[in-house]
Amino acid sequence: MSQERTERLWDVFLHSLWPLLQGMLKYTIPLSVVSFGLSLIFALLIALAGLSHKSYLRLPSRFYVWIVRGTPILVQLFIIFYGLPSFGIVLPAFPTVVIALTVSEAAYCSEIMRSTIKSLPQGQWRAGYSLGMSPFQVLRRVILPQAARISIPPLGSQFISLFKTSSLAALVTLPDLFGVAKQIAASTFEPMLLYIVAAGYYLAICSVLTVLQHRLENKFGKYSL
Amino acid sequence: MLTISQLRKSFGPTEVLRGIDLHVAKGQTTIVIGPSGSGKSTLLNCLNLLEIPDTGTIELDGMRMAFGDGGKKRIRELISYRQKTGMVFQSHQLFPHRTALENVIEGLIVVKRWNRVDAIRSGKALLAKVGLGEFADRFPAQLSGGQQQRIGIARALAMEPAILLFDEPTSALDPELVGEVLLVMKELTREGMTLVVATHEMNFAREVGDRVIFMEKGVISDDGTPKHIFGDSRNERVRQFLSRFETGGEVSVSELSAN
Repeated sequence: MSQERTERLWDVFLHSLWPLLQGMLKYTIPLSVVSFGLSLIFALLIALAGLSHKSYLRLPSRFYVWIVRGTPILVQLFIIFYGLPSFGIVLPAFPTVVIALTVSEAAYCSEIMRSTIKSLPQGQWRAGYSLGMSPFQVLRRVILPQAARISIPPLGSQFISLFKTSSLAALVTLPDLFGVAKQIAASTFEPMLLYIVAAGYYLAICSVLTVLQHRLENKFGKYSL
Repeated sequence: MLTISQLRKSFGPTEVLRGIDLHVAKGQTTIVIGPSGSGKSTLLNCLNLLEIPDTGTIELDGMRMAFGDGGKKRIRELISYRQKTGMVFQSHQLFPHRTALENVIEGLIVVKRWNRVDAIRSGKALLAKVGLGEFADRFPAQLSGGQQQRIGIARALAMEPAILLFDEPTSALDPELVGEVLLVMKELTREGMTLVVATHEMNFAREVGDRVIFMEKGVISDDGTPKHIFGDSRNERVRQFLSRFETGGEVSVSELSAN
């Protein structure tokens, strides 16, 4: 590689670091955090409906999970961003991505929650009932605290996956970490360099998240022994 | 105190309880024995309505519940009935995310809405009563099987039930841990608590029971004092069933209390 080329690459590299970081701080992280927070709330409702004995709650819940898990999130995102405008519904890019990520993530997280709630021994419900608790009291005091502990590790890895999926935002014009990388790659004709820098940023954050997840796992995986 | 009549319960095509009639007097200890699958557990579960009987009536402490009249039991009714009964499970079913003390006071706080200070005072007294005063802050996983089961008893007692039901409370325990649980139960009978105990501990039944009922295939096929059941039951099946326990390897409660 000529020295001129090396210098140019170095130059592009240095000049891309800050814009990419900005893209991450302004879009990638907020998109991921907001979507995940919202999806946890919806996921709990969907999971509880999915566990209900009442078919008018259970069936819609199962239907939702079926549809969302059976279609690619990229397609869902394009339906909202490029499809809905033809019905007169035009949403800005940021809320579009939040909605798409939330819709998709809620389905996956609800399955995690549903299976952890189901995995608790039936006897825990009976123990609560035998004390005279209502179903809601058993759920709130006995079942959910235990389910929350068990589901923290899988929900943690779900968040890591969501963080990376947020890069789809670039495909609906948002200048997130990947979006900025795309722009600079196009204007400098250095796609390899830019995408490697972007990958480095994702890897760095995901590594931090993985460490955090392990900490949580150790903290909540067992009952204070 | 407790009167049940013509209690029936099926699971699918299998009729597990086929018309049970039983009257339990206040302060009496009733031991339920019988082979596995005879309906002992289902009977106990029906007595605190963890299973809803198909037909029949249950009257406990002035509250009458009739089943099979078509009307579905309202959850409110079930809850107020269940508060009159306490249940000790075979596999303790303590709440693993709560300490021993928190397990005991959970019902007081959530169901009876006591304030925390009173609940803790009462909970500590109960833990002391079952001999676990020093273990208030331990989690169930940090306790032995016998200790867990004694906390289960304290948890049920906290609600001051009219009747205490035991579903094979020692069957899941190592043999050397059985005695401490039986001892606590014996103490309760001495205090005049009304107990219904499904168990395979025949020595306990003989020494502590006021009355023993033998269940087989969903019916009560013999009923009498321990002396009658263990001594001169004319029921061939009872004698057959009991002969399997005559190996003498069991712990005697009176021996234990002497130590």
